Amino acid sequence: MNMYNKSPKKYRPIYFISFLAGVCVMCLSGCEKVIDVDLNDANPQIVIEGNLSFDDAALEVKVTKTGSYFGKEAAETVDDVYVFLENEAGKKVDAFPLGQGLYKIEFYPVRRNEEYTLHVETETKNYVAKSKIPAPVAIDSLSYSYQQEVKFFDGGYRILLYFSDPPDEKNYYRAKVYKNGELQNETSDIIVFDDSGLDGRVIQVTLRGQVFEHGDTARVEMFSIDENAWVYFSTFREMANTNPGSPAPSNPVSNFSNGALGYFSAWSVSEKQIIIGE
Amino acid sequence: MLKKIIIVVVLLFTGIFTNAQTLYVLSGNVTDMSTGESLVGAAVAVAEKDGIGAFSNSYGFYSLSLESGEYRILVQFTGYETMVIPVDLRKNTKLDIELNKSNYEIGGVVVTGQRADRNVTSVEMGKVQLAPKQIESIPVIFGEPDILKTIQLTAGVKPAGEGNSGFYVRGGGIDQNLILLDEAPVYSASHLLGFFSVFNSEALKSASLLKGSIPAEFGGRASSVLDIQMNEGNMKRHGVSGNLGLISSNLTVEGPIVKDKSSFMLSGRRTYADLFLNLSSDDDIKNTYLYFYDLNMKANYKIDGKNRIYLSGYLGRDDFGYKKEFGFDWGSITGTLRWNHIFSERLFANTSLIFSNYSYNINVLRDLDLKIRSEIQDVNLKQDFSFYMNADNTLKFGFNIINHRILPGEVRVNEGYTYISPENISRRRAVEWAGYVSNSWRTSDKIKLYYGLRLALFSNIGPGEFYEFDDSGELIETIQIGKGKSYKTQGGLEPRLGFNYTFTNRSSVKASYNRIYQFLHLLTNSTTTTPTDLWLPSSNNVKPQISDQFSVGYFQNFKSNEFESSIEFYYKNLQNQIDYKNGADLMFNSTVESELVFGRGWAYGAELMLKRNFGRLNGWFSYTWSKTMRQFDEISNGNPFPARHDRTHDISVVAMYDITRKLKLSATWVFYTGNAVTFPSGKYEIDGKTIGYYTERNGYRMPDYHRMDLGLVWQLRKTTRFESSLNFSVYNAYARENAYFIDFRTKEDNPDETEAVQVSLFRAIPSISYRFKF
Repeated sequence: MNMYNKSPKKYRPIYFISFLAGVCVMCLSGCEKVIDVDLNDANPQIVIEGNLSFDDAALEVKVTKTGSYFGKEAAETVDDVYVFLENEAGKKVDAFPLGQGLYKIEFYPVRRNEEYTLHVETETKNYVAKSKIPAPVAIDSLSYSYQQEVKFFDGGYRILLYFSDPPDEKNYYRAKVYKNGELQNETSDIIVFDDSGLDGRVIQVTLRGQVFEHGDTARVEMFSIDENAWVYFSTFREMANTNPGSPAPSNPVSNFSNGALGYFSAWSVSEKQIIIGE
Repeated sequence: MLKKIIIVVVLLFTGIFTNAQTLYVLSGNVTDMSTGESLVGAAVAVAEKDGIGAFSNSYGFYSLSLESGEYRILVQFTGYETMVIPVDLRKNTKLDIELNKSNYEIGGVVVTGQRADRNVTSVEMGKVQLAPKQIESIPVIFGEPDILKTIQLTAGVKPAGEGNSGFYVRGGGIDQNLILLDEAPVYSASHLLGFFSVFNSEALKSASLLKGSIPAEFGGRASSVLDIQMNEGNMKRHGVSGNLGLISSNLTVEGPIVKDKSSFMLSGRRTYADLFLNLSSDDDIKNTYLYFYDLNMKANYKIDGKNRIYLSGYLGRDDFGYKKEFGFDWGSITGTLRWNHIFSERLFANTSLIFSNYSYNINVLRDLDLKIRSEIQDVNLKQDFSFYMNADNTLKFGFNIINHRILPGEVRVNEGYTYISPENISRRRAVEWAGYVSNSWRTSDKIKLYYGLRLALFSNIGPGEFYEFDDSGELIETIQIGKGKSYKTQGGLEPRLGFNYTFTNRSSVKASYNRIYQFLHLLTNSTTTTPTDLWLPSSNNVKPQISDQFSVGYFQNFKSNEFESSIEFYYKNLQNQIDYKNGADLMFNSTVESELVFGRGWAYGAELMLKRNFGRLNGWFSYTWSKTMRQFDEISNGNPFPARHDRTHDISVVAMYDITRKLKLSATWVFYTGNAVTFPSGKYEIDGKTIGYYTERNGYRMPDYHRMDLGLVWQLRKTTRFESSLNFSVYNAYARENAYFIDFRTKEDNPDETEAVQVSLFRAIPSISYRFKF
């Protein structure tokens, strides 16, 4: 079998430079302290998370608003908008408001390679985003390998993910990792990758960010997503990069119109589980 | 109309100035009596004729045209005794002048003024001249004298960050400074993340920063020119000097090869912080290595009175790694071969062949055997002529051809074990060429003019791939260009103008205008420079940056030039500035041009400088008020936003005080408005993660920055054979915790709440070094 590796994130020497900066900071008695910063409160902006699942044949939309940065209350939910989904033929289905900012279509058969449009309408503004479901791709298998502690990486078990990439099309993926049933959900846990340079091959992905110990259960969900969702989560992940030399931060690139934050993604998912050391 | 313009231009450059009286030329070289080093910028004046005089050029050569007669020639250079030489001028005369160092060396002028009133009487404006020997006592971080750090203490020049040797000049970017070491461009001027500059001050003779009027012989960078010259080496006797410090040491050897005919200079520097890492009990630190070294060398040979050859070179490298598993090294190599030829008393020529290379290598050997290499290399031919036409006109002309070769990134991976697909990005070749002509014209005792014109062009040359993109940045066509074929040529004319009206020898008004094209752009996905930053040539997708700068200033000296003062105003307009799309991938990306956005910038400000040149207490005060803006359609909804380095107020105070002849105390204090930064104006939740909501670029300010450094030089011995001194310094003497960056994050103990955390780099850093010379 022709076996290739693919690192989830492009290899970037910039990480090593950050490490170098880190060494200097340590050696030279740098210091950290919590400070008060006077931030302006921007006008609340609408935030939409739309997920259309091929496997569950369901749409789930969550609508919230941005809040004050140092505010202690939970995000304000939005329960008075009109949410509906439209397919390529122009057929519209309304989503049912469940409260807590949630809107759902319980049963909605999704066809692959068809583009869906999500509409979220308020009294004054309409927000629209499109997403297309790519061909479902299944995880072939999972394995793991032990890596010694080396500079820049903790020692421990890393999960290896194998799948066959569909040939002659551009594919984008996202993975979520559960450790003993718990979703690893820091910004730095966002894993997105694509098949560039490895189209149509059996691809091996090493999940470097999540470290396991002997006896741990690892579950991996791999989502086939479209390019917009890939761009969204790639730019989202940049937020985790808070090194001193990082570029000016900005909002992740959304596929919604009219300045709404968030994303609309249609996807299919495949999952596998493995116990380390067995 | 065009005809008239041509006639005027021709007249301007060919001497309107036919003088009935026969003129004779007095010319020669100005050198240091004890070492034979040529002196740059020494003033050669005629005592009988106010306002008539010349400055020695970069090679120590001067030329003066005078009517026949008896004169007293006055020669002045800072730190040297003034010399008066009687001359009976009846024919063209060669007069070589040797100046004697003044005895009282400590307490000399710091930022040199050459002829004491040059700042007032010359057309130059926005110029800072530094002599490394004279900045030794200014305290700096880690006790290592550093010319770039000292330049940051002058008006209009701002450091890139804490302890960083990168700098911004009058609102321009870090990559808009042309840094020349013996005429060779230095692409990366810093070591160890910018805490050290690549310039070992032991090896340097002079440095001048041109930020206002930039003469036509310079071009290629939009904001400033930093022209650094290495020492030539002592012509008279051998000498050794050195400096032992806590972090680094250097050693310089110099001397004649053939006495009074040729000399050499060799200087090396190395840091040894890694030796301390070895002492650590932590295996990780113990196995890490991290150091840099520099080597400067120069040799020259006087073939005869009319010909002289110089060969100089620089080699510097940073090396960082962990065991044998990971290695990362980067650095520059430059070389310059120069030939000075004096065609006649009036025509001086210099031909230079220049080489410059910057590269970095990354090796990850452990289990993947990955090698990455990136490189930029220049070969440059430069021809300059100075024609000392008559007493009032100096004509300069020449040309310059640079061949650029850029290897953006070559990734090699062990076959059969492919972590990443090997990516080979098309190499880039380009030719940059320029021709110029300029004239300095002293129209009367009161008015001096400078006018010049430079033509700068840039062509992409094959072999290579060029790309066409549609509006959304999707690749639509790849164009293959064959070897040696040129693809796209861009560039244009750059006028350079200067004006000086002198009221008296004590005060003057000056004005200048420059246009400069810049064809190479530094892509850096961070706010300071890193060794992996990429130089991108202009192409079909990337237009050259163009800067237009207007400046005016008033200059006045007091008390026989004991005090200098000036106020300058500038306005700079920058076209085709570069920024990046969100999440842009700049490394190892062959279509990186599609990740860029283009916009414009402008900057204006006022610079006030007050300086005391001599006395027991000397030094300077500078204050800059400025505004630096950028505007991109794609950023902040197209609204103008302040550039990161837009610092409204910037103050530097440098004071040196001679306690006794052997003890000298110095102090510097800097203050500047915090950088413009982007902070969140709200937060929201996505996918169970809290993130910041950003509404505008650079809408906030870092806290104000201020810091005081102290230094003490204690001269232990000083005889003609041996000199030694101890140098103590404290960086950040009152331990101000200046913000290096501010991190917005969720609280560790409560993920629903967010906090802002300020990280500072340094508290007070004391250091000590021992300097010797024999």
